[in-house]
Amino acid sequence: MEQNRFAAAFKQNAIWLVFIIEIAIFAYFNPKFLSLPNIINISRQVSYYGIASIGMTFVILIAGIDLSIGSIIALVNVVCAYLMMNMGWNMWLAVLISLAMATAIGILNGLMVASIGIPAIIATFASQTIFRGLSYLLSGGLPIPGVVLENPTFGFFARWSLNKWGIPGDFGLIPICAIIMVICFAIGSFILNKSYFGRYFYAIGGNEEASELSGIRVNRMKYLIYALSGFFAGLAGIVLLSRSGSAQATAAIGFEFEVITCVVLGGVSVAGGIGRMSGVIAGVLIIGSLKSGMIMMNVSEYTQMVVQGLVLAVAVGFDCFSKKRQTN
Amino acid sequence: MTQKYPPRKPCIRDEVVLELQHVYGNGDQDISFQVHAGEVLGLGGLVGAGRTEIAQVIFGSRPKESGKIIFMGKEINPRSPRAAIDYGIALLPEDRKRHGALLTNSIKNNISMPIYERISKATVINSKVEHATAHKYREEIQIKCPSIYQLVKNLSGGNQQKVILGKWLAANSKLIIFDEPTRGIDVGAKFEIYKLINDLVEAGVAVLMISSEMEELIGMSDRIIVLAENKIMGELQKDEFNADTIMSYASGVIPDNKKEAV
Repeated sequence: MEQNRFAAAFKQNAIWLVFIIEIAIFAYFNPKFLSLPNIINISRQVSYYGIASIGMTFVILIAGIDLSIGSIIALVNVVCAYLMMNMGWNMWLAVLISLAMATAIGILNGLMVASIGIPAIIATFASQTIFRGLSYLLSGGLPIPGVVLENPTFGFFARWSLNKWGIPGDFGLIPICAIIMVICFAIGSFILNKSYFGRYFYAIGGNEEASELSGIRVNRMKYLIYALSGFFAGLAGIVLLSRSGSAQATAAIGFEFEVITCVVLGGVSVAGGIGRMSGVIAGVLIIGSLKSGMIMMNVSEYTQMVVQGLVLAVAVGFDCFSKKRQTN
Repeated sequence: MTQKYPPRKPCIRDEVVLELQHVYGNGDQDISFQVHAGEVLGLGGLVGAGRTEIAQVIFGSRPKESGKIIFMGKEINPRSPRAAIDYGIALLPEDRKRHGALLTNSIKNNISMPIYERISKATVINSKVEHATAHKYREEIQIKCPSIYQLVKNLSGGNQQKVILGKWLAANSKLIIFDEPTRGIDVGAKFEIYKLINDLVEAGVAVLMISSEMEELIGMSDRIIVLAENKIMGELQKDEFNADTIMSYASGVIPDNKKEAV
């Protein structure tokens, strides 16, 4: 029994070992990899994957999928920039409205999946196309530039950092977006472990029918989960806009793919019901440093795509393989 | 027979816990009956006679078309299992692994599942109550397990059934519907389940027991209603229990000894 528990603990945290090995390999080939500027750069890069991965974790935990988050990010970029630049709205109000819109799109996904019963992969695939199209329509296919130039405070979300006195500003040590990510992970972890929603998510992922018969309002939970996925994607969109400074309808194409890779790599089973927030954090860090490391080693973008696809296949393959062995 | 079914103190009370008046729905037609506190009402009949269907209507997992469901003196119309659970109705489904237990969850989570919202404040679970509840029912109904963190899929059939029962006891149920309570459970565990049913009715809970096992139906019920083709064919009092009579009702025939009475 003791040995089993040790083995289980090892298995649950093995992903961190992978992360450490990865870091060691990159650091060996390029000593600059572990330099402070690069670490800060990686933390900026992973922040919006990390933020979006929280919603995706919930979705995959109930054996669903959300393919619309890349499009949600694009629409949030365009809408937020449009409100600020073309309509002269206050920055915070524009952000609030954009987040509300992202959440509403999530609720729409929930409606399609829960109430109408469209398979999640098709429903969110449809909204992926719809909201990407809307982003093009609203922006006329043209970028909306100068968002941060004209609203310097908007740089807060991704460009600003905390300096050593804890004051946010253009120059500093800890990027605000990394802090936002950490707060989001804390919230996600809290929902999964301390609130009853987490218990419900694990139950639904294990067996939807039995969950309903145990008194869980499964449909309501699905609405909540897709809404959360939309919200966190929206927040990731704000961070991305703050970083790029220019809203584009082409933003974050293929973003859902990367986030799904992070989540699955972090040990969340695509069959539902299994997964931990700490694993997802490791998954996000692994993918983030993999991307950064490959760029530093001058690996071409095309090769990077091949590698990322392989990582997803191996991660899902590992999950399916261990499940198969369990049932045998 | 006495060896197989534990003795029960007489405990039927006058109080009617559940009454159905001409209920139609989920394929069933014109179902009327009463269950009293402390009573085991057996539902007999062949597979597909409409017994599980009526249980689903009472538990709110399938809609009722017409008729009245009266629970503890008030008319209710549960539209979801959640609503039924909040009234005090519980269902242990026929297919334990698919509908009953949450196999990939721990014993602790299974037992507290219906009451999480009750034991939480601002969505935060009171972990002390959660653990105490799991320990209480593990002791009380003797779930044999190394710990309350054990996944339910690793338990035997009998212990899985006990976990499901524990969940409904935690939810403070007034009416418990057992659909084939001992299917796929070994003889020793069967006896334990029967003893637990006795404890329940002795404590004043009303029990509706669907069973395809003739011996179990006769051995455990205080009264038996037999269904055939989605309708009630007949009702037997304890002194009338007889396998042949039940079988003829179940095949949709009014037996000879009952015909004379009509």
